Amino acid sequence: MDRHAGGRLAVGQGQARLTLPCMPGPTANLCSPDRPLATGSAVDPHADTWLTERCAEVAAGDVTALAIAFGHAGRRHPDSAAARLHLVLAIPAHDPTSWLAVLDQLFATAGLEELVTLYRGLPVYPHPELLRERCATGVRSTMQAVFEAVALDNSYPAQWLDEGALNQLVLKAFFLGCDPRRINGLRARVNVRLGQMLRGYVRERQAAHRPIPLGLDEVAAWCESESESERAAL
Amino acid sequence: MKFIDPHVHMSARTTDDYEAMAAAGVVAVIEPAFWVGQPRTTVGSFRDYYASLVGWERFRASQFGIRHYCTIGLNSKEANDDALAQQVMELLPLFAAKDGVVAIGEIGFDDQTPAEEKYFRLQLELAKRVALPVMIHTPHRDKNSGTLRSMAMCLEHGLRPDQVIVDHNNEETVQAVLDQGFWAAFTLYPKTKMGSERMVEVVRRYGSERIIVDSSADWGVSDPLAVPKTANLMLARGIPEAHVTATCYANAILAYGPSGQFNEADWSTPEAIDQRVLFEGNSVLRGQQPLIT
Repeated sequence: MDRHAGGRLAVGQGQARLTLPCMPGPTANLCSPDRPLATGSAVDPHADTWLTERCAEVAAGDVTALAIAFGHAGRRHPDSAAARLHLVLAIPAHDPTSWLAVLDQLFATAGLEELVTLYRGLPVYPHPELLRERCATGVRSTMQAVFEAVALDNSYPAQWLDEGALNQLVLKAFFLGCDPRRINGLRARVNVRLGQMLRGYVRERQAAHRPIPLGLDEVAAWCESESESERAAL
Repeated sequence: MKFIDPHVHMSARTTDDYEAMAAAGVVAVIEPAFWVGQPRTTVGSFRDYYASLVGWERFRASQFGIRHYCTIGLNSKEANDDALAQQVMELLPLFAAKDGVVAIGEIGFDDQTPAEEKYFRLQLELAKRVALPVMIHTPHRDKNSGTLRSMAMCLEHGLRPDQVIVDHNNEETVQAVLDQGFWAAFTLYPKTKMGSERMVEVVRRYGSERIIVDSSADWGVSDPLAVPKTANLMLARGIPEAHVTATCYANAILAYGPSGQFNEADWSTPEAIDQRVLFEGNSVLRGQQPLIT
């Protein structure tokens, strides 16, 4: 199917169920059948009809329709987050520059709940190569809910961020007490520099007689085994 | 008595004002988007202003037990910067559709220029598209004709009079506004526009149907307690309490309720005040003991 033509609606087991159109390649983990991004909370055919019609307007290039529907999703659809992502996926994406301008405007005017939804959607947007700075901005956010939406259970950072930006994400996650097991794809991206940063943090904590964050030793050990395997390869 | 101030620029006011308003019985406020005392020069200034109306200011009010709502619009003064106004128009639908936005406003005329008319009309169309009432700012100069022209344009664009709140009325404009079925709001300034004494006489003469009292308090010399003070003066001067309740509380709900975003239940079952709560990491406190109710 055309992945920019709007959301796909499926009804199953007495519930209006929304699944994101499946993406080819590495983002498929977000929309596998056992892990839909979001589901509707109740049978609401009017809400689904509303969403389908708005997605069609957005796909036709109507940015005012996008703006209004994005705001109204909270009162028009029982699963506002899924509805908002359907709307975003309906934005015409054939011209990357104008597509990014529309998406940036949504981010720039979003409230907290909307921001969380937009950042959670990073792995499924077209042109992921254009979203590195957006992702890094989310990582730098002072709003913990936004940081968590980017950093945790989100496959975008490990796939697209460069080493420096990803290392900042991991370190900040430990600072904020997040569970590192929720950083998708971290095992494959550990590196020597991250190991040094984590060990430095451990020394700071020890000097201050403060507890070491859960999981930090394990991730640091991954980094060090990475370093050994690099040496072995030389 | 409970009061609503349905036109007050709280972003320009202090936390002392919020405390005094809550103590005087103000339970809800509507903050219309307006200019900020000097012209903005970039669209980003508008974006951040609108974001604060639906974000930080709403949180700030909640910290003092007052429900904050807003209207979104491009004011007539700044509509005269055509290049900037075009960019602002692109922003408006994004904010107009957010929760807690109860009208498109305040829009209308200042100098009654062609540019003002252009953006007034565009925003009337936006109001229909987002299904929101309209709050009209009537001009200070050539007020009568500007008011008549504003109402005619609303009708021309297919809005019903009961979907439009015409604000900044005076004794000269009220009759025509009421005759045509529009809401007639009165801004009470201590020195200019309307004063409380004159407002009492307006209610004595016209009654309370479709009449609304507000303070329009902003960054100038103005009084955020104008609504409760005027209500008390009305009572002292023998205006029936039903008229006072209608003009200082209930009519605002009838006028802005059709937005679906302005419901008495919001403040009649208020959330507890908890000043330990943060908005995007920020607090209203500067070391004080948090108020928790």
